[in-house]
Amino acid sequence: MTAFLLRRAAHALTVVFVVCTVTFLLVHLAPGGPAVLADPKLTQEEQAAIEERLGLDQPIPVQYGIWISRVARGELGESFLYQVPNRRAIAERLPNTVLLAGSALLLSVLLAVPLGLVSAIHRGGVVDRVVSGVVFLAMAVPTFWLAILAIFTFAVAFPVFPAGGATTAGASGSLVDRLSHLVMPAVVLAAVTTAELLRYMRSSAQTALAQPFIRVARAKGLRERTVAWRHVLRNALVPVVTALGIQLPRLVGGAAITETVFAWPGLGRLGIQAALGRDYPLVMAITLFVSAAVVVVNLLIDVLYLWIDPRIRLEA
Amino acid sequence: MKLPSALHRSLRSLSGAPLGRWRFFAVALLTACTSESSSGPNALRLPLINDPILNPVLAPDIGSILINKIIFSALVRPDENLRPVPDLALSWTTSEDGLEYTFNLKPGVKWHDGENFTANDVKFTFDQIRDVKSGSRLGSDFAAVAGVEVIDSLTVRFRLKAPFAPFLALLGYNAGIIPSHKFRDRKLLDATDFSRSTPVGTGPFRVVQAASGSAIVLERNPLYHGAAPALDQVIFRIVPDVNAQVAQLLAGELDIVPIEPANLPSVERAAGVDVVRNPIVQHVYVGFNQQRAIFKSALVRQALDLAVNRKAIIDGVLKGAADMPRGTIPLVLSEFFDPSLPVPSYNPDSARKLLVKAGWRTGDHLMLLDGSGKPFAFTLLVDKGNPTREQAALAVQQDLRRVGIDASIQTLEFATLVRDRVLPGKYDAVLIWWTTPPDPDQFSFYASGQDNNHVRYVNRRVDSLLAAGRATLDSTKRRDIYRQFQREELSDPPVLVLFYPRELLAVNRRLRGLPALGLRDALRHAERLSVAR
Repeated sequence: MTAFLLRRAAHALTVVFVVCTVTFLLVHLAPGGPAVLADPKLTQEEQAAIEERLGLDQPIPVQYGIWISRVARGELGESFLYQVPNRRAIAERLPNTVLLAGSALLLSVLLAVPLGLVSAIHRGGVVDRVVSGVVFLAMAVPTFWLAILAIFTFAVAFPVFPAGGATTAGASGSLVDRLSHLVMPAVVLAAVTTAELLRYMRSSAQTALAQPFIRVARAKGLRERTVAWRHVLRNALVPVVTALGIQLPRLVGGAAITETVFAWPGLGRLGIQAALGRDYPLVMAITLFVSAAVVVVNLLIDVLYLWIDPRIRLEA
Repeated sequence: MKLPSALHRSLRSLSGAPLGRWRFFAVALLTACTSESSSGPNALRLPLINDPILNPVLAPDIGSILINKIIFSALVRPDENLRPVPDLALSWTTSEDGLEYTFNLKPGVKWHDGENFTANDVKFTFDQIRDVKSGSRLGSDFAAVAGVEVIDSLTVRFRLKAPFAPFLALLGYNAGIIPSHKFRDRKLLDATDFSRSTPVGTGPFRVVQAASGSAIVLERNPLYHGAAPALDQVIFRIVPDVNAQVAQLLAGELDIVPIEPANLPSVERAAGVDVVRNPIVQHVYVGFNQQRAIFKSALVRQALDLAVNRKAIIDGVLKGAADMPRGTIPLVLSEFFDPSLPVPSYNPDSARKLLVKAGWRTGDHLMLLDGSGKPFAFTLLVDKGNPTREQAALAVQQDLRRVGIDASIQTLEFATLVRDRVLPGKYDAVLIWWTTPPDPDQFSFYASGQDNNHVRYVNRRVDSLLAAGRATLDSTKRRDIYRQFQREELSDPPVLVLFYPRELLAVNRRLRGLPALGLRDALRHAERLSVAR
């Protein structure tokens, strides 16, 4: 177990390093430059002063070296746009993203697993057909459009939920207030994830249903309910857990759009703004943080496999 | 395979329960919302697209500039005719030679933290503004200032390097005064807490809460030096997406939203929303890089001026939210704008004649060719993502094709467009705009060799007129100089001015006291605003 974890940790470090290096090159080679410098009224002298202060007067390899050595000392640098330490910028937004992505993921699992199971068991039935239709619709509709539609329906036409934000600004921010702000973005964000998870769940449950042990279970005289929940579900979950691991970075990415439309103060939106404003240090800090998070979660999922399916061995 | 009835039941109960609770939840929320709006504080809610920098000296973007105008008072502010009137300065005198301005400051003014405002704060602010290393974004506005001297605690004197007529307008534009006592032992850039969450100004509202990515909540400043603010609160909500801003306005969660002409249909039909179209000090133009041989001739630029149907762009693309231009000095600067100038005509035939006179001849498909048979072709840059400007660029392209000019459009992100193309002069033509302080001074834009003369316009007469315009304090003489400049622009247009835009604001119908100015200047009068119950 220890050797396995060490090997995977080394793996993880390499992945994070490669992701960060590639991102560093990409953001620096992208056309344009920091938004703080994109003022047509800046004089040469002012521009030079800003470049010197931000370290942009150094060649890119030198800037990279400086960045790496800072990261090695645990420093994430300071944002160009917000003029605060990146550590603080991320820390301020992280809880909101965890809340939103976590709620969306939970919602997805709660919907996708039972519905996928029912669809598979009852293939071609009413539930299956309705669910399939909704799934394709959810996957085809762009998130930003769904978000705007939701706002116009449930905040403007039938004002049930607030149109945006994480709390009512200037109010005390009670639990009800927070929850009411969470509902729409979480549902919209969950829509695509649920649709994909559901398709994984349905097909892997179908595969499981065709296995001999299901026939054995039925032959033993087990009730269909027990067969479904004990035997089919457990065996169908392995690929679904993998899919969940893949969804995590996508949730942060997809959250960027949802967060933008719903004015949700999260990390994805911070990343988008940083990339658009060519806020190099902040882009790098977010990349480092998110890639590390994804790698760690995937590591946890590998461990989770062992618990779900004892047939999987560490060496595999 | 038949679905076992037990599973059926459990699924039904699973889906039934949250639905029921959902409904209850919705009703509870509905009542919560209605009760809140009738008893809450009198608040004005505006959008920002990003977290602002709450320091007027460092503020790099329009959002920060807007919010800083109500936190930080300046020495003067523009009145409804855009003339500077007293704010923190009670009165001022100008020396005979125009090189010294002495300001008598309002006595008894307190900072938001209760400290006294003095002449030292003014000196400190302008010392920081003029120091390139401080991170100041206002250096070029005050390049004419030679030094600031404290005469006594309520008198401060500015010495200028040369007479500079726009000085007062610039003082009332972005130069909010910052408190020296907050920066005794640290640089502006290091005072993160100040510029992110706890700024201290002398304006009508003070920050009480700043949540990253969410909102900045400001409260009436009980120590305000002017008339008591009518509002209890001003809330700036961070809403990055324009469509989401409009949705929040329609949902009653925002009170003022700057919109694009494309948003007009969705807000004009809405109950409780008015659209305000205030003129702003801005000219939108197509700039031709006059280092390119094809644009050097004034005849060609006159022809281009005649070839574009501005009325069609204003009516079609801007839905009427702009005024017909007559040169680079916008209509709203009524003191200097010359109303007797001819309205630019749209006349493709005359344009073609002028182009022929300039040495172009007609080739295949009526396209223009030069002496060596090369077509009149260039690339027109426009910033990506703004539908109004992208459509205006398309209209310009089609109009030019009608006179035989082949313009291809390239869209680029604004930062890329400015940094990589316009500033280094690597472009043919660009559709862009200047927003200026309420003053006709355009020396840095159109005098030869100046930092902001991105079109590389060279006209000696214009150079001397613009130099005289910024150095002349007498308003009658000054007006005559700018009228001559506008005449000169007719025969040698520096740029092709497309329109003077009006700022489209969708506002809550219950909003009162909004001056008929662009939001930038209107917010200098935030104490007058209120929202009727």
